[in-house]
Amino acid sequence: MDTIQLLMDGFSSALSLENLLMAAVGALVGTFVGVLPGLGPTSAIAILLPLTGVLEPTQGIIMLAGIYYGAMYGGSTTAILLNIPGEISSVPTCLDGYPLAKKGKGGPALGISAIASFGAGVLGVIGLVFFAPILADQALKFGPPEYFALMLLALTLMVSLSGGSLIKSFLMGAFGYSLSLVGLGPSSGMPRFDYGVSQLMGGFDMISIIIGLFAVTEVLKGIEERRSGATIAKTGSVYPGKEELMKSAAPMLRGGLVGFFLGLLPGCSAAITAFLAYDLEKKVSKHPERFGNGAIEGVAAPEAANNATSSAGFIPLFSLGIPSSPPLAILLAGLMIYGLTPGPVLFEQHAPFVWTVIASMFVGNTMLLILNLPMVWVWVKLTRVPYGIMAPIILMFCTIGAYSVRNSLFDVSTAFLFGALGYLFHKYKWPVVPLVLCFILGPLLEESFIQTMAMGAGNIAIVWSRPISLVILVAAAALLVISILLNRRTNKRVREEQAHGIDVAS
Amino acid sequence: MIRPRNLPDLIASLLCIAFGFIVSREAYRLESYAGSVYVGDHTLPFLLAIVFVVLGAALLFQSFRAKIGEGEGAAHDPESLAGNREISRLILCFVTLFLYVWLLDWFGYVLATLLASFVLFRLIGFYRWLTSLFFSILLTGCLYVVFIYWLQITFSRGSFFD
Repeated sequence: MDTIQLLMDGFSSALSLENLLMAAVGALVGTFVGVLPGLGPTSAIAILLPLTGVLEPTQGIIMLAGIYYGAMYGGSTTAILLNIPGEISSVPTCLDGYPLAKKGKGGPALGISAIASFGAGVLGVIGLVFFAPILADQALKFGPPEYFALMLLALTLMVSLSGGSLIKSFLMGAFGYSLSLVGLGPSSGMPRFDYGVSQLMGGFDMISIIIGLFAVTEVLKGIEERRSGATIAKTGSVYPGKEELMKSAAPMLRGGLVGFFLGLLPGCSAAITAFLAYDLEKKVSKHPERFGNGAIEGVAAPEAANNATSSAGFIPLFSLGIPSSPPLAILLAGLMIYGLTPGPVLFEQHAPFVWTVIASMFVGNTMLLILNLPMVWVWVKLTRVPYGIMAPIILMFCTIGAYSVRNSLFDVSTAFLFGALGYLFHKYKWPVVPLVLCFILGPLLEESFIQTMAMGAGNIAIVWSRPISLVILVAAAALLVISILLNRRTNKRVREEQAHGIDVAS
Repeated sequence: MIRPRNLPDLIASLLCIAFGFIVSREAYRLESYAGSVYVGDHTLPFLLAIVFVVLGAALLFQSFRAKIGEGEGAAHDPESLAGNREISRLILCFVTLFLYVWLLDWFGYVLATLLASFVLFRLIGFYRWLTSLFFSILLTGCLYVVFIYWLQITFSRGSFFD
């Protein structure tokens, strides 16, 4: 009952006129950046994240929610209309979305995608309402060993974020941890890795690194590829007809359930569930031969699964502090800007704020449906803006974004330096998300490790001698095996689809 | 002589091993400030140094075993490989961005943004001088109104004008 009351309070805060306006602006801007060819949701959120920093916390978070859903929807738009999946999770959407767009039915495909996203978002909020009190009750039992075990659980994500080479993924994770060490040590207060440079004593700012690795890199990639504005065929009405809705209802439900329940497992990415949902739909269909040639079910199921996984990802994010996808890793950084450190005690310590965030997710999603969908033609036109104009604008936004967090030009230089590094990482296939994830989790890992060792009088065995931390460690081992198996399957499917000519932009 | 089949990975693995030694040196320095040999600010750097050296060595080994075309193939892919012109443009853009940071401190936000965006419009969009100037004035004006006038972000006014 308390939870419902808190959620209602969250809604009353999120639904004020000012906050609604922020949600609307966030959804619009997020969609615009997400729809730009080659810019996936992760880059879109990274570019726009610092812009929310100039607002009050509640407004900033609400705008961030709008940006998140807008960018996710923008990513689906390019997958359907241009056959360019911003992220691997959008590959299954391309398989039938693009053939539909070529037939002039891109509009209904976008409509179904938005409805699936909305439904999955609602499922996520319901899941949070259901799980939050349970987790809040458990929160007080968490001590440093449990947190340390949680950080080890987060390492299982390296498998799903590896993008191919596990060695490279773990090395990038180690690089991320190393970067997080720069600054004052938590135990002695002595500066580490500063080499006499005064700016390094304050450590690296995570937003600068994120902006560099995602946004600046994206611009550099665009220059290399000599990107231009895109040409899109007529989309038709975005409102799906009765027949299309009837055909999509069951696939949406099946995809949503697959996405939601698998999405609860940290390490199970949206790419895995989107492919599983697509393959499942093909298996249960009476006409599997229609798949790949423009079956609306082939859009509904993976989109529902993709979005349900993204929404379900909020549960491990809020409750355990573990982001299960790249956009959620950036969102985690965004929440941390506002002093919210997701984890078991989040619901205990910041209940009103957290429920406003949850309510704002719902508001952002609704905004997308009622405001964004009818405006799809505007986005289609905006994709024709030449890259030569967009790229300098994005770079200037990156500068402001990196500068505004600490009013530091050092952070701007850091963003540009990591932009160049990100370009090299992309070129030689080194995954950057493990770096970002470990950079964010690094201080938490170190703090929990030092406290655990102090509690155990220098004996690490304390971690597996406590029931909750032991359960987390066993879960981490199980998830590692599941992640490896599911990722192998997904990588195989991605290679199959790439062989059929789908170009994954990320 | 055994030749590496993936040169970029070979170079990266050597860099990782070198980085591991740098991190271990810092861990050794920090250990002198710690109260315990096992727990302190040096512990995580020490563990990371081991990770870098071990995984770097594994990658080094792998770079000799990689199938022909793997990894290095990406760099030789004509679609992914930028031409000399694109590489020059990338380097010029990169230099412009770093000069922009320096100019921000020197000339202040408005003038530095005007100059940097002008160069970037020329470099990335290949626009004519006048068109680039028009776009850069428009962009700088919009950014000034939104971020400095409306959202009141404090930027450097430039030490040159002090």
